Amino acid sequence: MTTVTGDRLEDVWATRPGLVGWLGAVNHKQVGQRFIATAFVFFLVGGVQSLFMRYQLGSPESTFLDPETYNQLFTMHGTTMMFLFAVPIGEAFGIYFVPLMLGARDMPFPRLNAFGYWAYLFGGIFLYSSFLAGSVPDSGWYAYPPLSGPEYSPRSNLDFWLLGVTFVEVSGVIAAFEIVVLILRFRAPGMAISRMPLFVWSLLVTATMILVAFPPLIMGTVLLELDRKVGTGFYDPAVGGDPMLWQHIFWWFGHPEVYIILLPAIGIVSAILPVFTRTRIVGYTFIAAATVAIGILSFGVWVHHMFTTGINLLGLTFFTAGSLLITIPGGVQIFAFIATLWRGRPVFKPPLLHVIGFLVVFVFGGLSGVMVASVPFDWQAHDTYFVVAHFHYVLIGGVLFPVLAGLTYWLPKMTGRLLDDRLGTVAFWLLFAGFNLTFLPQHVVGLLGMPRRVYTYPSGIGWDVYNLLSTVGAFVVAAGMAVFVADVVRSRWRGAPAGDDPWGGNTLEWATTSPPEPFNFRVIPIATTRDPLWDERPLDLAGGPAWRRELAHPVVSRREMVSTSVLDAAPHEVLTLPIHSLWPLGLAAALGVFLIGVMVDRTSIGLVGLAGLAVCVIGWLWSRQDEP
Amino acid sequence: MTAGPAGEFDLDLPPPGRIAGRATGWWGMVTGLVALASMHSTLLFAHVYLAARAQAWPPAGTDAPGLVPASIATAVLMLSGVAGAVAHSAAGTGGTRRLQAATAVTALLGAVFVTLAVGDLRGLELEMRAHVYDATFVVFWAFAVFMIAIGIAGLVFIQFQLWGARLDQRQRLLAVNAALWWYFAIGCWLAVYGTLYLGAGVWR
Amino acid sequence: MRAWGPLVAAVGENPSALRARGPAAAEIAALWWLMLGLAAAVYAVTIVLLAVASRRAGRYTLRPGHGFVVVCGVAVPAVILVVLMVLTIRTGVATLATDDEPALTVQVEGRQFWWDVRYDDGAVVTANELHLPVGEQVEVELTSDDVVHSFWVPQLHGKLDMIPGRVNRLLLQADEPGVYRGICGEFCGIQHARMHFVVVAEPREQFDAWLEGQRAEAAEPAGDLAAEGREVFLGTSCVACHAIRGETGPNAIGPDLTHLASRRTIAAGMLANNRGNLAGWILDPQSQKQGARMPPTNLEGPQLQALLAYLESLE
Repeated sequence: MTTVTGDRLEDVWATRPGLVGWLGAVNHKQVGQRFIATAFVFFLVGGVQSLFMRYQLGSPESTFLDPETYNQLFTMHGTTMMFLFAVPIGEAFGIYFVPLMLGARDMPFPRLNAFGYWAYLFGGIFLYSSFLAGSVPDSGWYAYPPLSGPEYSPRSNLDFWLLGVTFVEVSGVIAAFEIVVLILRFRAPGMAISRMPLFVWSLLVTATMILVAFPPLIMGTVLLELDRKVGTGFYDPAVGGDPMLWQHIFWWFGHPEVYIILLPAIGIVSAILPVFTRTRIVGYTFIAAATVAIGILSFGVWVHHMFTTGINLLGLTFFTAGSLLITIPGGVQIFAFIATLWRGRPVFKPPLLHVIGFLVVFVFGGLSGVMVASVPFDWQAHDTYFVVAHFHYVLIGGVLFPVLAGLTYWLPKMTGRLLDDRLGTVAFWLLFAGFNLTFLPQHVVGLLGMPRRVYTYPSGIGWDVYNLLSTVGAFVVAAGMAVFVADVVRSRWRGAPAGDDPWGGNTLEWATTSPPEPFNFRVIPIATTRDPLWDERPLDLAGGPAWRRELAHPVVSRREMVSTSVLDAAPHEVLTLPIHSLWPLGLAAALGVFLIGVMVDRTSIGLVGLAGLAVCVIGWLWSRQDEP
Repeated sequence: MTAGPAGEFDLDLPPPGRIAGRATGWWGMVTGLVALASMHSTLLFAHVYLAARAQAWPPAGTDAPGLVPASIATAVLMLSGVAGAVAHSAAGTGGTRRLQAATAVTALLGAVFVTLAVGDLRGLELEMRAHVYDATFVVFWAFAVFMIAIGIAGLVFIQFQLWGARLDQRQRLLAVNAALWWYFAIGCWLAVYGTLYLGAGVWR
Repeated sequence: MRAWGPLVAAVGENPSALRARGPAAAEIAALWWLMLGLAAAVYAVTIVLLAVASRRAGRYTLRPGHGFVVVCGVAVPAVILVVLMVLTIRTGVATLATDDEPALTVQVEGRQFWWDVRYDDGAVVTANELHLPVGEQVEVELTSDDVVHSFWVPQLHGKLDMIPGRVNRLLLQADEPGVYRGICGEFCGIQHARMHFVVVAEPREQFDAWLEGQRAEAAEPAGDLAAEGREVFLGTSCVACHAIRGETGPNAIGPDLTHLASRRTIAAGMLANNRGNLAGWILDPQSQKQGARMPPTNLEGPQLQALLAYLESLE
């Protein structure tokens, strides 16, 4: 893989040859690429699960699936989409593109970053190995006790869920931690915090939210696992516990989670819109402030998932107020996007089509969200297909369309090849039509009394036709996804060369080659405006300080990067980054062994895992791994 | 000075050791501690939530834990915090010797604390399966003590690294981070001490 | 195609939250239509703006900026949200208690996967069927003995969860006589989908007569076959889980069968209560409702006939 070119910068940033080099790679682009690919595979798996479910519900009293299988499928569908797709894909885009947008060469802690990926991969495999064990989680993605407790789920189903999800959450927290430090410290000189791209703003807020929202769920799952394995009763009223404790902890995580998923998608839209309308974004400060406001407000709304639990009306109304309030920053962002579109000259290529799809669908989902925020209406709508429809409008509209927009926009940067406009347009329209056909009728059938999470329903009470429409729609969506995937695969061989900047972009990632060199930028860019590529020449080396020339043509074989100050991005110091490490893989594997030990109740396996953890942590801290 | 469209600003690196603001590793540690703190807060929330709903907390038949042993342990831990602060300042500007001595004292006092605290817990004879009070007590307590134990391991690790070596920037940073961790672990314990011991009567 | 006619007749046609038959559901349905109107208006305006922005882009002299964002994103939504907040509180309060004392209190306990229903503080025990006097407020005490369920009769009121260790109270009122479908609203395990129940709202006299009938102990078997059936019931595994007042001690593992024949459905609203369904259910519940707690019962043909005759006599 590596050929010595004589250029020290190229040599030191090259991946080591062979399998060991691949396993030990720590560069953010390799890690990010793996994250994106893995998340997308999980997305497809979760999508196929939904096709099985839709086929089952296409007709009343269907016997295509037995109830056990159906319950497993909806549990794994929700778990996969939330934990293995939506959160990782946002962070994955962050890991790949934020360093490029900031003019950085790598993440601040590349080895930790690699560990995050391995933990994610192993956690996902751990969850899915439940299919091999014949013990698939079946208590829903929210795993309410007592149903998920030792008495009503005595087999190992829920252990797979609890440990697998914890594993993935650890990965999420690690990536968030990386992204926060990256954004605070590795911005291009001159890129004050008030000038960084809105995509970066959204990831900064998202990552900070993850740091406060995910660890409580990790703790909550630890308590549930203690109930299951040790016999404590945190959620068991018989010994003074309370199942509602889980609901509070879960939704403390679970509602911010929605915005954790959404904000990176909003960031993607903010990145694409100005480029495809050929104008600067309207209301940069408003959008950034709204992003921060959403981040804060999202921690004050968790009880709106618990409106039917018998909490008194006064308490609930407070959470209605919070939930309604959060639509204001949401509205600010939407209308800033519309204003941008209005002022610009839109170019209707697939990335912009997906952005328009996002606006049309997401606003709809936001409005039905306002409805379910109203306590009395939610008493009717809660846990019905109305809610299913609502959050698919929010999540598919708010996340999937932006993610597909982001992929069509940035894939050329990653691979150097363009996607096909016509295939992309076909895929978009299939997805858009199929999506609405699937989920619009579900609002109605929910109001007609159809609850969620049912494997079948009685005939003759008015639910049949809406379900049939939904099922047809789901297969149209699947066709759209197939076209999209085919387009991606096709571009690998047949795609037109993209060049450095196929869209006329405004942010720094378009200043480098496609795909980027391993070191991203030979010359560390300097950015003093919000649209550096439109306003200045960030890679101009002339007249700059000596350290920039030294970093461009290094005298030592090290991976060097300059760190900058938190607010105004003044250069701080030149740091050295690790080149290659197997410790992250070892650490993730040891953690996996430990969790398997817990899972099968074998202390010996657990101790081996713990010993491995200790060895890897010490080895990691002791070695620097920044010398070739 | 370099002129950009946004005005003049300084592009030169400050001289080493004169950097205004914190190191990247410092930010990393603080960010990580935020995540751990939100885990510990979850246990605090669980305790308060369950206690507020209970008829009696501790439940009938269980005595509130005695204050004396835990208070002695807490005092020792506070002393170790002072030693930790000395190590912190030594990590910034001081010499290897002072740093080594201060981290050693911190770790030692920490070990004494763990011994005292474990002894106290054993004396309480809590039965995790019998009542959620016992389970909450043990888990909340264990999280804090575990943080202190990890802190001790980190301090010992630094001792090994400092053995006969010259203090470089990386080791200084490691020591600063160990001190930050130590403050955090003390904070965890104070939350436990305040709720489980001092606050034991509140929900009676 | 299964013959679903009898079941629909037994459980009601269309459990739509918008076909309200009680004051609470009517309030909520009114709120829904209001919110739908508001949302439709907001959506229409937004989409029109979006369409104009996309089509006429760049060719307009009017160029929206910060003012546009503040008006559309903050000012207008703020007004609408205040209106919604007021509506929410008004509707919420309206669905809560009036000053009147409830006419009666019913205890309903959620079980995997059926409903235990008690009147008169447990003197009357029935299952999967709730009778209400029309036009009167009935307080329903909701509890659960196993996992979280949710009690929901869309045409009468929103849902309220049944949580182990807690008692939730719902005030239910039906304004029109009729049969309404009740549904478990919270996923509760493998047969959550088959956990429905029947609400029968009837005029006061009929309700009183029904309750009086339910208070009585089980009728003596009318003929030889039914008497034989009683022996089958008492002599086989049935009695391990089911109670028949007057014949057995209390037993709450399975539904009380004292007046089984008076109920409209069996298996929690899944099957119309007739001879064929009952026979199939007793012999092999698992093939129809996999994972239900009732095991199959091995009975010879004559035994089964006798048992059916007995159960059908339990009016």
